[in-house]
Amino acid sequence: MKNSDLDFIKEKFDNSDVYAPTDMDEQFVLDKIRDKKAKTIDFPYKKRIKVVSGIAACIAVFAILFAASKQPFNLNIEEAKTDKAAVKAFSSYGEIQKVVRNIEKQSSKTMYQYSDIGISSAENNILNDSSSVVKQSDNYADTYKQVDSVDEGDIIKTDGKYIYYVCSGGYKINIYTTEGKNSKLISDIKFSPGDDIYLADTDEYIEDIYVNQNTLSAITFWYGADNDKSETRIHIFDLSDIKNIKKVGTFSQSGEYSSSRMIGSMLYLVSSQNIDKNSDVPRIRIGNEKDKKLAPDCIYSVKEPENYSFLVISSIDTENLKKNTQTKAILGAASDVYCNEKNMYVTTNKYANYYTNCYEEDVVMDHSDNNVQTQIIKINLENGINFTASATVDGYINDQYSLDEYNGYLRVAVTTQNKGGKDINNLYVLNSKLKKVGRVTGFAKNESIKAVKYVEDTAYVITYEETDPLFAIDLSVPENPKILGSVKIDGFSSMLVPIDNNTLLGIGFSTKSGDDIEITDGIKLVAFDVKDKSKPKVLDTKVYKNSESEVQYNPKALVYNEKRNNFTIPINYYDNSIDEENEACGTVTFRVNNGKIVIEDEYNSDKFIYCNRCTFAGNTIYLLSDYDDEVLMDCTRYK
Amino acid sequence: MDEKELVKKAKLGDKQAFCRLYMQYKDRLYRYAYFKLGNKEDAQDAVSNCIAEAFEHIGSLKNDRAFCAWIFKIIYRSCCSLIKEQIQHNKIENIDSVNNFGRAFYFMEYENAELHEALGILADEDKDIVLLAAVAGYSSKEIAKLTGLKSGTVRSKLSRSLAKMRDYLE
Repeated sequence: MKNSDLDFIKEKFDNSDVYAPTDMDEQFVLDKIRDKKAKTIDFPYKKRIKVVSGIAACIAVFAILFAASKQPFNLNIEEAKTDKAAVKAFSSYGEIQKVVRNIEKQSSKTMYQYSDIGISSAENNILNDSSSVVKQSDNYADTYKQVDSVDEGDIIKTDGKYIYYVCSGGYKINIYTTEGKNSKLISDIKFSPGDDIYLADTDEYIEDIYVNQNTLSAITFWYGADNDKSETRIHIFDLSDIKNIKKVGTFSQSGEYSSSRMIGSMLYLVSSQNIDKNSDVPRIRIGNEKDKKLAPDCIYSVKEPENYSFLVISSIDTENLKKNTQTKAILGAASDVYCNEKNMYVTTNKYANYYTNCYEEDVVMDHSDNNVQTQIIKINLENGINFTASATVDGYINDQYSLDEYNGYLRVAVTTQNKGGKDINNLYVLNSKLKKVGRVTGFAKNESIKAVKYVEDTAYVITYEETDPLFAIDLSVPENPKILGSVKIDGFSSMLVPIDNNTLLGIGFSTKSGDDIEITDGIKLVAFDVKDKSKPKVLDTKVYKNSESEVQYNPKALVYNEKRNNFTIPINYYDNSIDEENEACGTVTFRVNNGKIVIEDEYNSDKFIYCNRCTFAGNTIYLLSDYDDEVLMDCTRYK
Repeated sequence: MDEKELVKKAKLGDKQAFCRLYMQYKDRLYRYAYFKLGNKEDAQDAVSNCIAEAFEHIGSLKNDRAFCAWIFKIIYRSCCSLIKEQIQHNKIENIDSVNNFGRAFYFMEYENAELHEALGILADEDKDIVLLAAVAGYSSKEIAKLTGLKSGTVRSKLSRSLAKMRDYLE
C-alpha cells in the first residue's frame, strides 16, 4: 500500500497525547490579538454605535453611513442630503492626519474642513470614450463576467490564437498556441519568486491578467515587509511579437489588491491600504519614476470615517500609461466590486460589535454576529473617478453577484442575523444616491445566501441550510420588492446562469447527511423553470458524486460557448483514499435544452490528474493543469 | 457554521470567529510546533506568534477553503524564525549549542520519547517534510511549495523518511 507508512506515522502522531495546554484557549487568543488588527478589515465601531446598530438591526433600518452613526433617530433628514455631502475631499495632508488620528482615538468628533469634490479637484482627466468595448468573439472563450461589457481579470485568457495561463503559484504566465493536439508552449513571462523561504514576504505574484488586442496587463501583488509598503502593480506587455514579449510599462499603487475591471483599454484597479499612525497617504508610481503621494484633494472621506484603511482606485489607460492615469483614494476598504460601464460599487464588511464583546470585562464570550455590516461606496466612472455616494447596510454580501444596478437602482442581497442569532436574509433596493427605497427582509430563516442572480427586474436568490431554496423576488417596483415564490431542492447552487426567459441554470454542490451537519460530496447541476415566478420548479438535475470543480467556488471557471450554446466546466474526480492513482480529471460539456441538462461530452485527461481551468478556441477545448510543479495542457475536440 | 463562513468572518476582523478557527486547529498546531522544536516552551511561543501573525494577515488569505494549509504555513514559518533567532542568539551570546539541544529534551514527556527519537534520526529537512505531511496534512505538492524543493524530491524524501521512522518504531 502506497500510503501505509504515512498512515502508520500519522497515527503515531495522532496518538501522541500532545495537546495544546489548556490555558491556550480562546481567552489566550483574545489576549494575543487584543491590540492587533486584521490587515484588510475596518476598525471597530465606536462603542455607542453598538446601540445604534442594535436599533438598526431591530427595525431593519438602512441608512447612509454618517446618518447611522451620528443621528440614528433623524434618518430622513440625513438621507436627504446630496451626494456631495456624503463624500468630501481633503484640502491638506494635515487634515488627513488629523482624521486618521481621530479614527485611531475612536473619537467621534469631525474636526476637518470639507472642500467640495467637483470644484477643488486639480485634475481634469477625462476618460477615453469607453464605448469601444471589444465584442465577445464566438471563436474563443471569454471570461465569464457579471456585466458583459466590463471585462474581469482572471488567471486564464485567450485571444483565439494563444492561451495565456497564470501558473506556478502566480510566478509565471505560460503562453500556448491553440493548435489542438499540436499546441505548444511558445513563450512565457516570469516573475521570479524570492529564494529565501524566510523572506518569502517580498514575493511578487500575479493575481489577474487581461488580454486586450496586443496588450497583456498582469496585475501583481507585491507584499512589502511593512503593512503599508505593500503594492498592487500592473505590468503591461506588448504581445505583437509573441516570442519576444516586451514589457512596455509598469504602474504601482499602494495597498493590497482587491479587484479590477477593464472597459475598453481602460483598466480600473482597486486596492486597500492599511493605515496606522506611521503610515503615509496612498502613493503611486509610474515606471521608474519616483513615488508620488496622492494630493490631498484626491483623497476623500465620508463624513464620519471609521475605516482604518484607504480604498485606492486608479484608472489606467493600458495604451498610454502616462496620459490618462488617474488615482483617487477614500477612507474605506475594498473586498468585493460590482461594476458596470458607468458606476463601480465597492463593498467592504464592517464588524460592529466584536470590539465591545471582546473587551468589556463582564461580557461573556458571545458568538452572535448580528452586526456585520456592508459598506458600499459608489464611484462614478463616466468622467474620471468620482466618489458619489456611500451607504451601509446590515449583513454581509455573498460575493459581487449579490449586487446589481438596473435602471439607476442598486439592489443588494445580504445575510444577517436576527435578535435570536438566527441567520436571515434581506434584499434592499437603493436609489442613485444610495438611499434605501425598498426592501424585502427576513426571508429564509436559518439559511444564508449562497448565490444571487439579477435578471432585469427579478432577483433569484439561493439560500442554504440543509436544502437549497431558490427564491424569485420581483423588483419591478423598486419601492416594493416582493417575494414571488420559491422551490426547494437538495444541495445548493453557488452560481446561477440565466439560460432563457424561462430557465435558470444552477451550478453548485450536492450534499449528504453527515453526523450532525450536511456535507458536500459532489457537483450538482440544476435546471430551474422560472416561467411562473410564483411557482419556480426544478426541471432537471445532474450530479457528479466524489468530484469537485473550480466553478463551484469561482464563476470565472465556467466556459460558455455562444456559438454552440453550451457550457464546459473543469472537473476533478477523487475518492476518499489519499492515493493519487485513483484521481482523475477532465471536462464536462453540457447544454440546457427544453429544461433538460444534456451532457454532450465527458472528457477524462490521461495527461494529468488535476485540472483547474479550461477554455476553448475554435473547435477545441483546452484543459490546463498547474499541479505538482508541472504545468500541463491537454485538449479535446468538441463533439 | 462551517469553516468557510468562520474564515470569511475572521477576515472581516471578527475576533471570535478567529478564536473558533483557532480552537479547531490548536492541538494540531501545537503538536506540529512541539515535535518540530522539541519542547513545550518553544512550542507555545511558536503558536503564540502564529496566532498574532495569522490574525493580522488573514485578510490576505484569498481562498477561504485554504485556511488549514495557510495556518500551517504560518506555524511553519514561526518555528523557522524561532530556530533562526535561537541560532543567532547563540552566535552572539556564544552559548554552546549543546545547551539548546539539552533543553529540547529536558521537557519531553516520557511517552513521546520514542517518537522524538524516531524524528531525531532524520535530517532536519526530512523531519520538516514528515511533520508537514503527518501532522499538518500537507500533500507533497504543498510541501514542495513551502520548502522550495521539487515535489518529486519531496515525495521520495517523504517515503524514505517514513519508512526509516517506521523501522525505528516497530
